[in-house]
Amino acid sequence: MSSSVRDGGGGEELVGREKELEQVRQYVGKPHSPCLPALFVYGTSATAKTTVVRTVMEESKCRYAMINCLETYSPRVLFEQILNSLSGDTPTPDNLYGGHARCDTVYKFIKYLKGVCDSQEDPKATVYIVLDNCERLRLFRNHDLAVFLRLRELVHRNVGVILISTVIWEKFREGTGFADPLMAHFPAYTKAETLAILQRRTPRDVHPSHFRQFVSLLWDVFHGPCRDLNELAHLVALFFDKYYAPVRAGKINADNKTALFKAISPLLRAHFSSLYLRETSTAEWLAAGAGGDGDKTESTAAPSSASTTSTRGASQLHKLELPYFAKVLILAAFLASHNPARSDLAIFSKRQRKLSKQRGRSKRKAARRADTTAKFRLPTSPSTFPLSRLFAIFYSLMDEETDLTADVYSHVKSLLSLRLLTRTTTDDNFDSAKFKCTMAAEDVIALGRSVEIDVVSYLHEVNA
Amino acid sequence: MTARRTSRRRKQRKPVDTGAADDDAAVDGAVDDAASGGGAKSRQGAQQHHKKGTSKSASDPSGATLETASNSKSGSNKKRRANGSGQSTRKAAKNAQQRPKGQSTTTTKRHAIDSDEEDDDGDVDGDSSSGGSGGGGGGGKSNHKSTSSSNHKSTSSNTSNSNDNSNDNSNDNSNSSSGSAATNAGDPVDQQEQKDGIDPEVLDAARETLRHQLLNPPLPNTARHRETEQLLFDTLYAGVVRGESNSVLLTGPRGSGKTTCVQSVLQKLRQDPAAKERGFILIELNGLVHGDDAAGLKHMASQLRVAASEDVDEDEDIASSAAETARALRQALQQGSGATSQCIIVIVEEFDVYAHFGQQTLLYTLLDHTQLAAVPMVVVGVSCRVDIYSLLEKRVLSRFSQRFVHLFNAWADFPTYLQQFVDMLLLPDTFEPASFRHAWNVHVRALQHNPTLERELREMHAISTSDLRPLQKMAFQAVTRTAPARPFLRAEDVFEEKMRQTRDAKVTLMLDLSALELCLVIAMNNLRYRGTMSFNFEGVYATYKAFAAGINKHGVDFYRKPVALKAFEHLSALELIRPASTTVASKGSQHAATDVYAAVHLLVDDLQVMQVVDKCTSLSTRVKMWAKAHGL
Repeated sequence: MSSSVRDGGGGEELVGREKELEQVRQYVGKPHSPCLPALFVYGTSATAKTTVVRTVMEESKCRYAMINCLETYSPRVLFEQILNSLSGDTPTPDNLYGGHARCDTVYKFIKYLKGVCDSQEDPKATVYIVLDNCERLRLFRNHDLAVFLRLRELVHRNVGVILISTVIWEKFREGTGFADPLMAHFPAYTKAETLAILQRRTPRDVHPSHFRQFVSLLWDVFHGPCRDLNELAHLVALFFDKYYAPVRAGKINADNKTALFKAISPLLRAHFSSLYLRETSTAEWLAAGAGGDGDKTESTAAPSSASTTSTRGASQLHKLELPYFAKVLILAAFLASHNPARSDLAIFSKRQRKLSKQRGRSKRKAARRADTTAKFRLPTSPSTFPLSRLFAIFYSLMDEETDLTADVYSHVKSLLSLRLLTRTTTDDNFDSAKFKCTMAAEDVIALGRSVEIDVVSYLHEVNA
Repeated sequence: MTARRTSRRRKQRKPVDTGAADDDAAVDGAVDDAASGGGAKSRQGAQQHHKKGTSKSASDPSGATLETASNSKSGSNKKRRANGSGQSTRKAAKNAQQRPKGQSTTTTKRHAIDSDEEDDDGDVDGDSSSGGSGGGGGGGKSNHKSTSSSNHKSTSSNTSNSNDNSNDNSNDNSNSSSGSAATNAGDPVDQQEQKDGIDPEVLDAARETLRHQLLNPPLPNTARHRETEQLLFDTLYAGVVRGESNSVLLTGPRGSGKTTCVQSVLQKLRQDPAAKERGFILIELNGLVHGDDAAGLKHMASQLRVAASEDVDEDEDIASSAAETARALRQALQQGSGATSQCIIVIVEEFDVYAHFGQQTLLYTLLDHTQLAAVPMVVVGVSCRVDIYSLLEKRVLSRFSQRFVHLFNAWADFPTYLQQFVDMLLLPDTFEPASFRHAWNVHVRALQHNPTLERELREMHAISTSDLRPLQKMAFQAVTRTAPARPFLRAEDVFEEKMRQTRDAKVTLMLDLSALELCLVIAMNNLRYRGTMSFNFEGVYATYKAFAAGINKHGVDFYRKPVALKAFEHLSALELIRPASTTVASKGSQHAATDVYAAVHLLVDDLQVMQVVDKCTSLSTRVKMWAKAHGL
């Protein structure tokens, strides 16, 4: 989190974190100042929590250990890392990768910590332990977190603990011995601050004001779903070259904001649907951009944004070329998963009869009913179905007669291996096995369209 | 300036009934603060507002710093939003002048009710202004914080000499607004300090002293604590000098001074000549550190051997199992005799932890030994659990001396509670230079007359009458906030710190969420309002989709399912939602792929959602309406 911010422009100063810096500094005080046992720093991701704490630690000239609890999967690893970091011992071949000491219990940790504190040039100076992502500590036995919260009391030395987390403090309280730490909240960056931070990424050949224009535009478009600085930085990296390409090519003047926005907006709108998802890697994206010029990318982007949401969602699936039988099998599986078995007869046996008329009316009725019912019914997860039911629906869907052949079985098998179907029973008996369709409704609807079957009209909810 | 003249005249006419020195300074400050606020928009609006604000603050008899600040600010803020010139001065002053004299008494009576109203007022104003200026971060701060921060703004906007006085809010205001220090004639110490300036080193020393004082609080001076101390001392003394084994169990809520009590008794014992001559062996166990019976016993055994000056390494296994250790320990202990051996004092902190292990071996071994006449041993158990009695096994209980001491602080009446707070902030008499100490203490004492602060402290008192640690934390932070520019404790610092420590973390965190994430939370809240208690992503998304489809023309962005799922996952990572089934809820599996049909619970209540909706600036009005109407 912090690294990405810092890598951005190489600027060391922290934008918009003055208050927070001050707060942590006040907690730390002078190198000899006694400090409260623990400080709890919280805030959503990408609010410079780690960076601020590290900055303060570095300027405080105190000994400190900065541990990311994601790395410490057991108390022993945690304790040893802290001790190594504080004492400056690193596991090397010389000490047989021993580090400072072997330490797997709390009382040993406290014993060694006392030793480390006393071995400083100045035994009175405060020692800090910073635990990043400290919510992970809850995975250990309860007491370990409590020990850190009252470490000062247990060690009888000047020890401060700074906990960093995205989770609020309420969620930590369980078990005994919890001394509430001091709270420090890091609010999310405001627009101005975000822009100032992103501004550091200005490429050399671009005028800062033009870049600012672009970043501001990006914020306006994306801040609704995404206030995460990291993601915005990713977007900046993703889009800026495309945005600036017309200027570089000499087609549009860099000051002409509207024209530039017009050129980029289809692309941005398209990206709206895949925000955070990282469907294409940056390398792929750049390669695609480098392959054709601006016009070409625009032409590929335009139809996708013009098409409806549902087909865009299914775009991934379309890449997967399935045979016709397999597609119908998926449809059948979907219907089997989402319709109750008792409704099968009504839906499939006489479906030819007055299909169109009834559909329209019932749909409207259903819509009206959905409006009026106050009590909301949760969508249920797909139910399981036996193989026989799948085949029954499958044959009902197929217009022409098909024989039950080994082919169909093999399709089921391949769908299973593609994870479009999952089996819920154990592997040994194929005959009595039960299955589940894992595909989302819109994907299936799109798929149905490609084989000209209107899946919606077969759904029990719609017909009921 | 007219304002000053009026207030002075008032001072002469109407004697102030309480003895606080800077009452009139506060009044001045209030008027000036209102005056320096900012531009004027509509005459009527400003006047109305100020009539309320100034009259109340003027009538307030007790240095009403914060109250008045927020009061006048709510007016000035409104104006500042309109345009930023400093024209309201005369108007406000005129208001103060026009105010009929009799009004003051009535407003004083209404004070309690009024203050709440005012607070709400400031609330809305503060937020909109911070959102509007864009510098406030929109969300993260509590309303009170923004209140006082904009108060800062107003004082610093006309900086004349605010850097070296600022001993109290009121003085600060009055000085910075016009630069005439002649008004606060009531406080000679302050004036002297203002002339001298504060030596940063003195301030540093004071801060360090207070940090020490706050972190090592003395034993509360209550009858109960003294009795307990005496009892403990007698027991230990009998053990050390006369070789009488015994056991005591000290219970009490956290922060009631149990450990402090034990430590102070031990300190006394060390200094006692008779006990010193005899000597004793101290073993300290802590349930958190020596997490189970085996570890505890091992620690005891090794401590004994250290005491017997055997050269041992704790890592080295004395015996392979806990049972063997216990037996070895027992044998070692039985070799001595009550007449000759040194007494062993065992302090067991977090006593209750050891009660949770199956056999309670450690407790049994310890307490059983106190029944034997071999080596004298006094066991002092310390626990925060009042029901510890019912946790102990029969065989353990039968060996226990049944000496329970329940320790608690009860500052049941508020004034003593307040006194505790003041006491912990006062500089000790040993602090030099005395002039600074005096000035500091004057300001600390002035704090308790601040009505807003008092209200907050009353709230804290209502939450816990016995636990002083929240007060300590608050005091600690407030002390660290002092700087050479404002060397004395200010009510607003304490207040701001209090708000920071006690604000609703969920609301603060939620204010930082993106609009999409908030939409999902609102959707869940609406579903819950309609009677669904657990939700799954599909259901939440369907609700959101229905809402967005209904108003799509009005510019509410709609996001596709995978994007929404990401937002949903983020909510789950922040633990604002939790899987409904406990098997999935095991903490490790949070980051597994989300099952869109898995039922989840929303961990935010309706009130909190409404607060967020009210305060959030990034949500569109449509969404807010949707949230308010609970989707109906």
